[in-house]
Amino acid sequence: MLSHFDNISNSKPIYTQVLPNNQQDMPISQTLSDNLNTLHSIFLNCNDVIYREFILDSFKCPALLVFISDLSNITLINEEIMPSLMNIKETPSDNQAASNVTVIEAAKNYFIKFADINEISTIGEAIDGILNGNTVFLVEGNIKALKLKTTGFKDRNITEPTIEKLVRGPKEGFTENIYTSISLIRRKIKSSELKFEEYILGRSTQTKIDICYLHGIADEGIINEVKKRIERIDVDSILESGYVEELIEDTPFSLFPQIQHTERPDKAAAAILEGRIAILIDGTPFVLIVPATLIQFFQSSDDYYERYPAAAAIRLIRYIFIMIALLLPALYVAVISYHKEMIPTHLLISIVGAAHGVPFPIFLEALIMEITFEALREAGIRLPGPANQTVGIVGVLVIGDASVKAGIISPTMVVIIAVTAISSFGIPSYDMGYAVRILRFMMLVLGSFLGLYGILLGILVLLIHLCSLRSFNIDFLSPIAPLNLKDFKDTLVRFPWWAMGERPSFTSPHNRRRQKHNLKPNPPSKFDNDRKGN
Amino acid sequence: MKKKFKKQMIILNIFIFIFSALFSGCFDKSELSQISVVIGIGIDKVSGDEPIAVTLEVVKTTGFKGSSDDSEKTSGSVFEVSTGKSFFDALQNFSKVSPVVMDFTHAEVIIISRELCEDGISQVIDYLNRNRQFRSINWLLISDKTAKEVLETTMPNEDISSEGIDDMMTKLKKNASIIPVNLNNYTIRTNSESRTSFIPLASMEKSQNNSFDKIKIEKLAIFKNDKLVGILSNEESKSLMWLSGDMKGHNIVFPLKSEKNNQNMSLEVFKKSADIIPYITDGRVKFKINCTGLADIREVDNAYLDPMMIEKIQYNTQKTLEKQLSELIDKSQKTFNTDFIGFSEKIYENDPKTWLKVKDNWDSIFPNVEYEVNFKINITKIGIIKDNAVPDNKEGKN
Repeated sequence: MLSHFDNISNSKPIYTQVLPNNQQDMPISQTLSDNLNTLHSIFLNCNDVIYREFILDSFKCPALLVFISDLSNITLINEEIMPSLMNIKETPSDNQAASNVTVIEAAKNYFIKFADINEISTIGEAIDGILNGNTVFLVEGNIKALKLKTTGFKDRNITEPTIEKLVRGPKEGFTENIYTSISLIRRKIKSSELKFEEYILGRSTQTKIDICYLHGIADEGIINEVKKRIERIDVDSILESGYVEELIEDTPFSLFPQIQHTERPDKAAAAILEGRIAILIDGTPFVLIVPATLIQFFQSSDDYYERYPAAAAIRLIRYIFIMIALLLPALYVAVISYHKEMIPTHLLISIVGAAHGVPFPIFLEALIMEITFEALREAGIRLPGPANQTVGIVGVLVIGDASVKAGIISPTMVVIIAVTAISSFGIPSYDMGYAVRILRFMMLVLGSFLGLYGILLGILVLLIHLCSLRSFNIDFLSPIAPLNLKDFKDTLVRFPWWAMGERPSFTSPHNRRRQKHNLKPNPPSKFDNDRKGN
Repeated sequence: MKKKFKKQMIILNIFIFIFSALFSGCFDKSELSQISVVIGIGIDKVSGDEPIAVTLEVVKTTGFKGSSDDSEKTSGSVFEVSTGKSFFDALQNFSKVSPVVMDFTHAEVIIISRELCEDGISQVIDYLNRNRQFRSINWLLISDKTAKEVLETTMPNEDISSEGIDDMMTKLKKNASIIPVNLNNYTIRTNSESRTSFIPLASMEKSQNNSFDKIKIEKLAIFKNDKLVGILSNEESKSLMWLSGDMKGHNIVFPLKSEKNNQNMSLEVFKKSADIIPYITDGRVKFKINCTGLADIREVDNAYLDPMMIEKIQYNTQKTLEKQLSELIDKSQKTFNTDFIGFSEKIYENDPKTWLKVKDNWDSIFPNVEYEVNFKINITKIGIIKDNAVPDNKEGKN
C-alpha cells in the first residue's frame, strides 16, 4: 500500500514519518509479549490506544486486540468481535486439517463473524491499520495477524452544500468523510466502469486520496498524467484539497485556477460522465475536477437543471457580469480621465456636478472604494453570524451615505463600485472570483495610467496568458481556442439536452457519443391521434 | 549565478514599470474637478488688436452638493469671454481668465457672428476640424447680432441655451423647415467643386413680456469660398431642401387659385427623390431637375375633396413647387452667382473632362445655364376625414 514511498528511502528525511524505515517492514513476532512491547514503544504516550489481552479458550493461547477507541466502532467490537472470539468452545472437529491450520487462519475462516478482514504480517501494516480505526488481532505463536475494519467515528451528516447553492437540483453535498463521498458518487453512477484508485499521501496525515473516473470514457493519457502527478507528491500533510491542487496544477504562478473544485456530488458525477477525472480527498468536502477549462468556471449546475431557454439566457448574462466585474471601475476611471467625449453630455454634466469638491483624484477614489469593499467582504466572511449584519450596516451607512455626504467620495463612484460588487457575485466559481478581483485592480491601474489603450493592452496580455495555459494537457481556452464548433453546444449557451449528443472532444476524444440520435420530443402526429380515437 | 541574474532582471523590470507608471505625467489627463464642460461656443469679431472674441457657455456644476434631500440643483450655465488674435489664440487666452481647463468634447453648438462670416471663416473651420476635441457633429449657426447675445439668450424650459439650440436643430432634422448644418456637412460642401456651402441663421427676437428672448432659426446663409455672400429668404431656404440633404418633411401652404373663393390648403410634402441630370452637348450644359415626392393633405378650407379635386390639388402643388424651385435657382444664378444648387458637382460627376474645361470660367457660365424643373407629386393621404370638418353651407356640394 505504501509502496510508492519506498523509492525515496535514500533521500534525506526532513519531515516526520509514521515509523522509521527499519520498523516499517519489521515482521510480526511469534511472541505476543514482544509484539505488545513493540506496539507500546511505538505508541508511547498514546492514551487512546487500547490493548485488550485475553485467552483464546479452545486454543489455550493468549491473544490481543489493539485499536484506537475513538476511531473504532466500539459497539461493533463489543457485540460482534469479542463474543465470536471468546465463545469458541472447540476447534472445528469436522475439519481435521484444521489442526494444521494456524490459529489466525482458523479465526479468519471459521470464527470471526466479520466481513472486511485482512491478514497482515508486518508491524508497519498493523500500525497503519490501527491508525485508520481498524482493530488488529494478534495471537501468541503466529507471525501473522488480522486486521478488522472497525472504522467508525463521529461524522458530519450529509447536508446541503453551503457554497454552491442551487434553486433546482439535489440538496446533498460531499462531507469530510471520503467513504461518504465515494458512496455519493457511486450512487449516481452505477457502473462497473466507474473506477476508484486509492493513494495515501502525507507522511504524517496519511490522507486517503481517490482518483475517480469512468474507464473507457476518460482519456487514458489524462488519467496517466493525473496518476503521475499525484505519485510525485511527497509531503508531510494533506489537510485540504488545496494542498493537492497546488501540487499538481500546470502553471502555479497563474492567477487563474486550472483545477475546478466542487462540493456537489451531482457536479462531480456530471464531470466524470463527461470524461473528466475527480480527485477525492479525505478530510474535506471539496472534490477536485481535472482537466478544467475556463468556461467551466463560469457555469453553474443550475444551467443544466433549468429549462434550456432560461439557462442559455442566464449564462449569457453571466458573461456580461464577468466583464463588468473585471472592467467597470477601470473603464470608468479611464473614460473620465482621458476620454470624456465618450460619455453622453447630460451624464457627464451630472458626473462632474457630483464630483465637485471631492478631494481625491479619481483613481485614488476608485482604489479607496475598491479596497473598502474588499475589506467589507472579508469581514463579512470572517465575522460570526450575529455580528455579520453589523458589517452590512457599516457598509451601507459609512460607505454608501456618510462618505458621500462628507464629500469624500462622489456618488457616481459609489454606484460604480456597487454595480461591480454585485456583478462579481455573479461568478459561480469562488476561486475564479478571486482571480477576477485581483485582475480588476490591475486593470484599474492600467486604465488610470494609460486610458482605454491600457485596458486594451491589459485584455490582450490576459488573452495571451489564457491561451498559453493548459490544464492536464488540455488547452485552458478550449473549445474557443483552439476553435471547435462542435463543442460550442455547451459553451456560451447551453443547448437542450436532446441536442447535446456528444461529450466534449477534449475530455473524451475517443468515446464521444453519449445518447441516441434524434431524441427531440415531438407531439404525437394528428394521424396517430385519429387512429387512437377510432 | 544565472538564476540570480534572472531574478534581478525581473525586479528591475517591475521597478521600471512602476516608476514609468507613477512618475510620468499623463499630459492629457484631467481630473473632474479641474475641468469645465463647454457646451456652446460663440465667435465674434471685435475691434482692437485682438479681433476675435470667443464666448463659451460653460455648465455650472457648483450647485450640486451630494445628497439628494437638499438638492438645489441650480444647474445652468455661465459665460466666459476671452479675446485673441485668432480663434486658437482666444481659446488659449482662457487660461488667463479661468482657473479650470476647458473641455470642448461636449460642445454642441458653434455660433459665428455675421460680421466674422463676411470676412471669412476658413481659419475657424480649419481649427475646428484639426482639433481632436471638437466633433464634426457640432451644429453650426450664424448669428444676426453678436454670437454672444445669441448664446446668452435664456430659453424657456431649458437651463442651458446651447442645449436648447441643439434640441431645436435635432428637431429640425426630423421635421424640416430648414436644413440643419453641422461642421461635417459644412466642410464637405465647401470642398465640393462649387466651393459653396450654407449655414442656418439664428436670429433673436425680443419678446413682449421680456422674460424670455426667443431664438429663431430660419433662413440659410450662403457661403462661397468660406465667405458669406447672401442670405436666402424663408421660402427659398425650404425649396433648397429639394436639392440637398436627406430631409424628409416639407410644409407648403398655398391658396388654390382655380376656385372662386380663397380656398386654402396646406400640404406636407415628402421628398422621395430629386435628380439633377446634366445634358452636355458641345460644351453647352443644360440641366433637367426631376423631383418626385409624396404629399399629405393637412388642412383644407372651403373645399370638397373628390378625386377631381385631389388631382387639381396635385397639379397645383407641382406647379407651386416648380415655381418656387425655379425662383431659387434664378436667385442663385442672377443674384448671388453662387452655385449652391450643385450644378458644377453634377457636371464633374458625369463628365469630368468637360468640367475641367469649364471650371476656370464657371463663374461667367453659371448665371446663364439653362435648366428645366419637373415635379411629380402624389397625394397619398388626406387624413382620417374626407370633407371639411366644418362645412360651409353656402357653398353646398359642388
